[in-house]
Amino acid sequence: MIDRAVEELKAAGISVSTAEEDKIAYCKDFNPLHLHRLLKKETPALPDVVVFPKSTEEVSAVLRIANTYGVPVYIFGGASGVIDAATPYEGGIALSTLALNRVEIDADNRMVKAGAGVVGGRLEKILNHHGFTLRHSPQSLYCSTVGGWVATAASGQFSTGYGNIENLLISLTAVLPDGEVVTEKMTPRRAGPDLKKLFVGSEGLLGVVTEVVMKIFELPEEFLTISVEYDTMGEAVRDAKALMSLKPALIRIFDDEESIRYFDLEKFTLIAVFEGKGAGSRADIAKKMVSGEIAEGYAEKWLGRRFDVSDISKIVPLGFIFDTIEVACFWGDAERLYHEVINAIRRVEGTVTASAHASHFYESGLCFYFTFAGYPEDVEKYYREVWERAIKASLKNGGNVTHHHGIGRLRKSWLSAEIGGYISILKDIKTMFDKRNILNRGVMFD
Amino acid sequence: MINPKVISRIIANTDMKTKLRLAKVIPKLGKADEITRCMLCPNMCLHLCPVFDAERRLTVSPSVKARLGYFSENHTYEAIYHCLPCDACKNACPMDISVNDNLREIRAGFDTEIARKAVERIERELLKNLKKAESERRDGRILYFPGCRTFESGLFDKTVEVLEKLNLDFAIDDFLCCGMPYYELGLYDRFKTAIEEVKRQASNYEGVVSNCPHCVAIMRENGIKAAHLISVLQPVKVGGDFSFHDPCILARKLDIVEEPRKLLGEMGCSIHEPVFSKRDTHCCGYGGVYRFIAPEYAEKIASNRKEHFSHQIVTACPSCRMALKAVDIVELVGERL
Repeated sequence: MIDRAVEELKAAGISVSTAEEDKIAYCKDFNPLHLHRLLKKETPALPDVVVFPKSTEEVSAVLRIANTYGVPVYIFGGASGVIDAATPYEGGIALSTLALNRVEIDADNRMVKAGAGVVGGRLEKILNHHGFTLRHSPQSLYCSTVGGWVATAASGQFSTGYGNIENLLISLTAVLPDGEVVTEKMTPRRAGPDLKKLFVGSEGLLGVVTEVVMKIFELPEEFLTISVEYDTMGEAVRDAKALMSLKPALIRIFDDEESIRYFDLEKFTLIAVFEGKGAGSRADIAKKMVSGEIAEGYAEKWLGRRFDVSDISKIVPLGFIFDTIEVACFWGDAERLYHEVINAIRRVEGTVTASAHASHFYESGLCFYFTFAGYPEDVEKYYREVWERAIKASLKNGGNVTHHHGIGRLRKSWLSAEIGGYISILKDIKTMFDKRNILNRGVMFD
Repeated sequence: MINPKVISRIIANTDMKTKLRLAKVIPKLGKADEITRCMLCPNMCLHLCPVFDAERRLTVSPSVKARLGYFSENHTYEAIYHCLPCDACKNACPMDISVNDNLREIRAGFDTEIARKAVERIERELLKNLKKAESERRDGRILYFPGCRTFESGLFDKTVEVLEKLNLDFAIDDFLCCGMPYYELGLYDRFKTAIEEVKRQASNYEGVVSNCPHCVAIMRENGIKAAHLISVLQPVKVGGDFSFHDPCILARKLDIVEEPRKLLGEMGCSIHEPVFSKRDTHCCGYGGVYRFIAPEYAEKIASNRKEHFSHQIVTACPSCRMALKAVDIVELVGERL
């Protein structure tokens, strides 16, 4: 079947590769377990073919052909996802969205149209040159794509002020598994069904997002920061909740372990950014509001290092395993959840570090981003056990399963705990859209 | 160096069995080779890589090329050659890793058809320049070393004219190749032969001056006293609106960033910075040997780069001049000198 599909893809004029180097390039996402396979010169999986469609129409042709032959299709942007969603375990087609890379800035209406394969860092650089910003700034900004942001329901470091990807989204174009192209009339807002949201966080199960229109903002003239030290996570969380009334663009709370790493400080540290008109006075009010001790420079230090993930490259070759677990909770559960999840991770034999920062804030709660590193004898067993215990602790203490990394294959055993009865609706929608189950097979549910 | 406070935490929070195992491994922390460390990165310089931007496939992205280099045992991969010496990756890397520097070492371990064909193309180009240089031979204190791309871009005669008008006591000797193409292809024996000849020639002069940042960089790295031509140019009144395209090697290896802007300013020019400028510049596509391996993508990079400009492009590199249809700063000076 795959051979016939490849022949048809070529006949349709689609750029297709069966070269070994392209297959190796599209063998995995960035789930940390895969890195250990690479170190052994092993590939977690290999697609039979990699396709590089250049337009929505070509994506449609790829899916039509794949659907005809029932060939599995795995959708790749920058392959920076960490939940083992894109890995082509059943071979088939790896569909790269990277050639969908047009950018059109509509300065008048404060929006940008970007192809799914546009890399975030380049888009932001181009926008900045024109005096704008997307203010969507995940740590993967430099290696993730616009389509990937939508598919994973991504969130960025400035989400507290500007919202997550779903809040920035104006419109999108997607191709359904049978090749049908869906889009809608663009408008700043509408009542009635907003079905494009089906694709937000769909992790490629329902279609391939090919083009996205997003809000953009003028680069802020004022940019003020505050840095505050605390003795406990609870004090910092209470101040963060109060600070939300001042509309900060960004808040982060680093626990004492992460404060050592970033600031050489054994305290809990809150940083906040205030942007735009009146930022100065809001920052002044914030300084008076907080109960902790005002400090200098921590926010700037973190801003300077916020995209530095080089620790991964230093520890993994030695046999360490690491990962991050991000969960959301309401204010009332925050302090307890933080301690319980940290303790749950630390109790797993082999854990070397367990730490957290609170990274995204809402009127009703926040997201904790836990980081662990272990040096176990059995990497995979240790890794699974940490995940089991951490998610169990989160769910038991009012937290959820994922804030912004997604479900993928990694967290699918907890999907029903996350979305309850909606899981049957999701499965029905998947069946309706994707009768032959070709798209990202095995992601979210079996 | 690990923060002692972090070590105290690890000691306090880690079980005894793991602590004993850690004691053996901690001294090795961060000592993995560059290709391994680059392979394990999620591609944090992807947004800056001009080759990826043109080819639009992960295969030629920085960390995947490192992966392919790491996987190269009995054979290597074509993507290992799809790289530029622009060091956009290194410029952004907290580990200071140049993907191309590491891939060059991989290339050196294999005898490939790709390298052989590239050499054929390059040497055909080099031969064209021999006679031209011979016809202009002259003696002087400073060696003017045009470099092959100065001929190819048609800058040789103009540069000679400018150097004469500037009253520089310069020589033109036998045409030699600095060896960069061999070096980039990992053909180190051929490179060594080439650079030794250049060294012998340069030893007859007080110093060397060249239009080509590549030549200057490679000569300096091999102990030759070489300077880029921009250091001898004098301002003349020109005026007008321009954008300066920083050649990668000029900005990142020779650290020449403000000099051309100062010169253009003294020439009465208004300078409009493009997106990607100064040390954060963007390759024109003609660096290294990429255009002899993947000419269509080299042109694509050039075309992508041109889109970053809305004014006449000025540069200071014969390769960039060709790629971007730009004006070289030596031409601008020459017009009014």
